[in-house]
Amino acid sequence: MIRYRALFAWMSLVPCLAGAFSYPALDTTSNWSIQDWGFTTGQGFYFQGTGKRVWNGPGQPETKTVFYNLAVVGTRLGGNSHPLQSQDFMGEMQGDGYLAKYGSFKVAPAVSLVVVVFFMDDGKFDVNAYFTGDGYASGQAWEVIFRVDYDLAGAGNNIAEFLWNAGSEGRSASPPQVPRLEALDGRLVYAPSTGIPSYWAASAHEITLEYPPLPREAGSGVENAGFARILNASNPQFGMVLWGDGATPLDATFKAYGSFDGNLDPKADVSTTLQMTGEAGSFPRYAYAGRDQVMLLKLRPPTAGVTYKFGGKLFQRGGSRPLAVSVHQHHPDGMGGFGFDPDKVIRYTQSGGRTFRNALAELTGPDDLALSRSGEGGVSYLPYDGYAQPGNAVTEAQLHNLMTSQRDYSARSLENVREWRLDLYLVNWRLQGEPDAWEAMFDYGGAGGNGIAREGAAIFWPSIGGDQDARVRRASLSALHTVGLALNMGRNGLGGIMSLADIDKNTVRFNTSSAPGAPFSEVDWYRTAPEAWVKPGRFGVGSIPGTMPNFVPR
Amino acid sequence: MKLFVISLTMACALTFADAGMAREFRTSEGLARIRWVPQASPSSDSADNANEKAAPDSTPDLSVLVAAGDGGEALLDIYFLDMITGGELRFPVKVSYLREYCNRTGTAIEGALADEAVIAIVRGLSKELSVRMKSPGAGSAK
Repeated sequence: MIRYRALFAWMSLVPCLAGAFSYPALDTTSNWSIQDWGFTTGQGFYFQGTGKRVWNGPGQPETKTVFYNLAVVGTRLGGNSHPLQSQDFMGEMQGDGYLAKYGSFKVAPAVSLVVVVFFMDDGKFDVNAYFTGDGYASGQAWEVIFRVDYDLAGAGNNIAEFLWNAGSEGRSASPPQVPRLEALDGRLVYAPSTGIPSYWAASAHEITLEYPPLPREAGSGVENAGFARILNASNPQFGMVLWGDGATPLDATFKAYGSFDGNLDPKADVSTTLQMTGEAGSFPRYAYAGRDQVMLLKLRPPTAGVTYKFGGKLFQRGGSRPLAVSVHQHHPDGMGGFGFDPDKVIRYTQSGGRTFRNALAELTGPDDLALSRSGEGGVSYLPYDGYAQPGNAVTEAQLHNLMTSQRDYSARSLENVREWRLDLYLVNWRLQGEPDAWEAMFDYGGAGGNGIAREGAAIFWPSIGGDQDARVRRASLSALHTVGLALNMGRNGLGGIMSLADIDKNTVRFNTSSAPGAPFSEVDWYRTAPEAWVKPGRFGVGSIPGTMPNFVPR
Repeated sequence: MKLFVISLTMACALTFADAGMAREFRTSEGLARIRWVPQASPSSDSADNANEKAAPDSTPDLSVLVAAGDGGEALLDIYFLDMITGGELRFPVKVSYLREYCNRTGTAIEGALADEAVIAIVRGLSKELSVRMKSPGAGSAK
């Protein structure tokens, strides 16, 4: 029987490159489309009808709306509002791989706000603002207010998730997650901490989230540290991640569209219910209060430099969720010649040979599965030096250090918001204190205990018994098993749907019919359950006991 | 797309307001003012040192501005006046774009301190980036 446990540590990642993709896919070679932009005293510096082209198939383009309206509506200083009064100048430029719009606007006597918005062909956008003029002095606590009216793919129904953790609750009685009570004062202050798991959540009521500057690699995560992600509710494969930068604190206020009256100091009214989507049952139900929302962003003075910044990136996934798995291992010379082979037949069944690859491909579809392994594609073999000698025990801290030291913090890696990424470490070590453990999940708590999907797992080769052929087969099965656990398939609170727990009986296949005691199958779970519940990563779905909202598989 | 030339009076008011943070380059053919807009301080020591060199109150030259880096994300606020045509442009450029442009065109940053060289860089950069000013209230379809 496989034994596994959780490590109290974060998983790291090295670059994993997806070679293939399925349609629809974001067109990363064309400019964003902007129907109109400019300045009026009523709207501020605005962008109307901003969208991006996706390919629904070869030769089948479609432009999908991102922002119905994105605008800088004004500024504040010392508790007073200063809307954009007049323009000094506006301009646009277009370069290789991007276009940009910019302008300078009077906000007070001899004080202007300069705003530069870059729209990148790869789906990224980057908003910069800074004050200038004789009347401006560094140290003044100016705030910049943006109105973000998102309308992903024109549906009107959007899922808006935000980041929070238990330390964020402040004066609230409970986290603001449907259908539980929201923060009593409608305001949460995000408390980044390595000791507190963070979660994605959506609210059924208006709410404000206050975020400190979040460096891109905050939390040693595999992704750019985001504060919100917004998805098309009916088709959550299209969406965007929003992030700040390492210097700009910001408040994000989610309001009902009709309740925003232009006040430049927007407050969440906790008594205002966000409008429910009118659609029934065919999309994730955990965040159904997404219709006709608007987000107000208040950027506070940067802690370094003078530039106020936020940005984000779009993603368009295929019908399923693209998964990129990298398997890292020690050199085969120390492991009896074993080199992980995703195409090795683990078991022959009536439907043919079952492998690591074809089992996962049934979740993702063959075009949305990317596998890489040590010795290929730039994935190096794991080192022994500085950790432990072959076959010896390794501590959790050492393992954690090994993984984080290999993490890729390049922009390219941090901004990969399309793929779900997962790393497996097949090590020639035993786990100190638990020499019989075969697997360890990288998590903040007990295995399956807190609802956090994991970015990866370790598999301990010396602890796997049997002759070489049996060990190889078991190692491959363990790798598959840990992928299922990392995707939260074994989570108690959501129903134990993991069918790969018993390697002696399983079919090496994720089930397509409902698992015992659960209203959905593993494939349903992977493809349609709320992203916050399934996606491997450092953020979970909430640790509050109680019945979770249902979701209805498509 | 409509081109809009802002008035000289307005341009002067805008650009001279930050003269203390900008460096001016002037020839008989053009005038450029380049202002560095400090971003968040990078975490590395070397980048911090570069930032110190290009503190906002200094009058940095191009080589220092480019060295400042901020990962290439720092903005340069460029004002350019063509003395012959009277055309004016103002546009932000990320340091990385300027660096790439100089590399691509074979322009040595260290050798670009002469006003003539800077004017040529700014003129070429504005054309490469298709910089256009926009008239008040005019829409744009792109």
